[in-house]
Amino acid sequence: MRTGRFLCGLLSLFFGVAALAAETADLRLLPAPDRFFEAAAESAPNTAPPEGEVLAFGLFNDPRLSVTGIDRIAVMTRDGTQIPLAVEKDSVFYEFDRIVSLRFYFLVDADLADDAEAGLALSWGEDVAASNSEVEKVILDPEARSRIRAFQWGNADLAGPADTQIADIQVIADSSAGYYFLWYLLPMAIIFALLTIRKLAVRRASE
Amino acid sequence: MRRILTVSVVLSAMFLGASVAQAHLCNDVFAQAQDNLAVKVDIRDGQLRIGKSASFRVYLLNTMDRDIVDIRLEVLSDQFKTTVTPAPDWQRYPYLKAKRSGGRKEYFTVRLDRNPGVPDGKYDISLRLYNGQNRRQSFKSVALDSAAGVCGLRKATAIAVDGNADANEWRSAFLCSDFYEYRKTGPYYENRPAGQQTRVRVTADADYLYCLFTMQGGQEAQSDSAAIYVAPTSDAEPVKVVVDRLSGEVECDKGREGIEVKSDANRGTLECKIPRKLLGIEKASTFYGNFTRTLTANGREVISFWRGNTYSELDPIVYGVFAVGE
Repeated sequence: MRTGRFLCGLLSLFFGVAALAAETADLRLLPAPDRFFEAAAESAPNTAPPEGEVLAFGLFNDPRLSVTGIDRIAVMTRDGTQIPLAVEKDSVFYEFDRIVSLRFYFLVDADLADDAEAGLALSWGEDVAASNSEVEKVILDPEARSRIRAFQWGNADLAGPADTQIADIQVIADSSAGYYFLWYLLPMAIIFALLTIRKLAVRRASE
Repeated sequence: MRRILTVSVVLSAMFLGASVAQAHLCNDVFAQAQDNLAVKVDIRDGQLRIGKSASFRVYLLNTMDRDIVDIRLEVLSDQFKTTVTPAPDWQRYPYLKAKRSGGRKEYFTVRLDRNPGVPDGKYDISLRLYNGQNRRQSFKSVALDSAAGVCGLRKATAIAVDGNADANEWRSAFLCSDFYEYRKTGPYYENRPAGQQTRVRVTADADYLYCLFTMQGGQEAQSDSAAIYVAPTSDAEPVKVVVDRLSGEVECDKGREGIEVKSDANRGTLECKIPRKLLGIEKASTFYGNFTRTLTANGREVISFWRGNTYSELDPIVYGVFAVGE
């Protein structure tokens, strides 16, 4: 009885920890695309990075994202420092009452932004606690374009189209590959054999 | 003398202008190809079993706003001798005409012959589409998932189409997300993340296809509809089912019999149940599918796509390939 309770407790603990486990993804900063500045043609810009800092902006909608609040997402540096996010209020999108997509920006030191080895990473899950804030619609300032970046997550190949392949396909070299189709003949062969035996047996019995 | 000088200057300017325009055009092609050159490799699950030799096809559909002058395919492998042959009816090969200007799906046949002495085992081969006029320029990098992958659908169990999208019912259904808009930015069209995101959960049983649309925003929408496109093969004409989120009304070119839809306009969800027979996939274990959303607000219509774009919405070669589980 006691052992059963202990096992139940252990399993609960295991699954509880698994449910809380944070997901992570590497972050890269890319030059800001033209579309980031389209809104500034219609309304006055309201967002620009301070001198010496770079602003990284984008939509985050990884299929694995499913959190209960905006404080469950964090950007971390390699040394474990957490960078606060400014989340665009109207961009937060829910499925089954959990956040699955949102747009935000964060500020990083200019040196860090240009460092390919900076080790920026996104972390999200119910055991992440972050001090993020909500902001109204972000209208980026085109005047600060050189200090604005788009963030991209995951392990996408960023080397560009010049040296990438369209797909890697796995080929299984198998000397028996040409004979596999014969297995399809087996049931027919068995049925044919059984019918033949039955016919011979009937003929012999009638003789 | 002055006339000759003037003519020379004008000719030089024209030549220079043409060169710049050509270079610009070329860059536009490569930028667009990343998003809108559709590639499908007809290998199930990204694996090919080969004895001595085998072949497969790589389909291409140019859904960009301009033609590609010279496109070639090369296959990189140390273990296999590879032969790439363009389709016999690809009349202007290596020219790949855009769909919008009358182009169609073309293909390469890739033949692999095992080199002598290569033992049984698993080997990777790489495919590369490049510019025949400059071999260093590749057209596209595509994840195998979208080029040759299959979206596995778990068999639907106990899904109630009642307007109450329950997480327990739908969470294990296949997720289609990351919708994008196809819009002109500067000199060419690009795919950009949709301003209002859409997620579609898909599952099926022996008789029905089930879809759950969760649609962001649209509170001030004059109209907001989701479209489902289904075709049994990549060559077939798709069946289109359009569902209005606000009214719950359904339109289908094959009739509406058996279709059930419940919408929850406040939460932005739509549950649909569509007979597979109506979609022409009654017995099919795999089919081609796509989803779009058309949102009209403040007098502006925005279409977002899961796959493809305006030029290819009726061409299943750009759709996802779904495999129905047991």
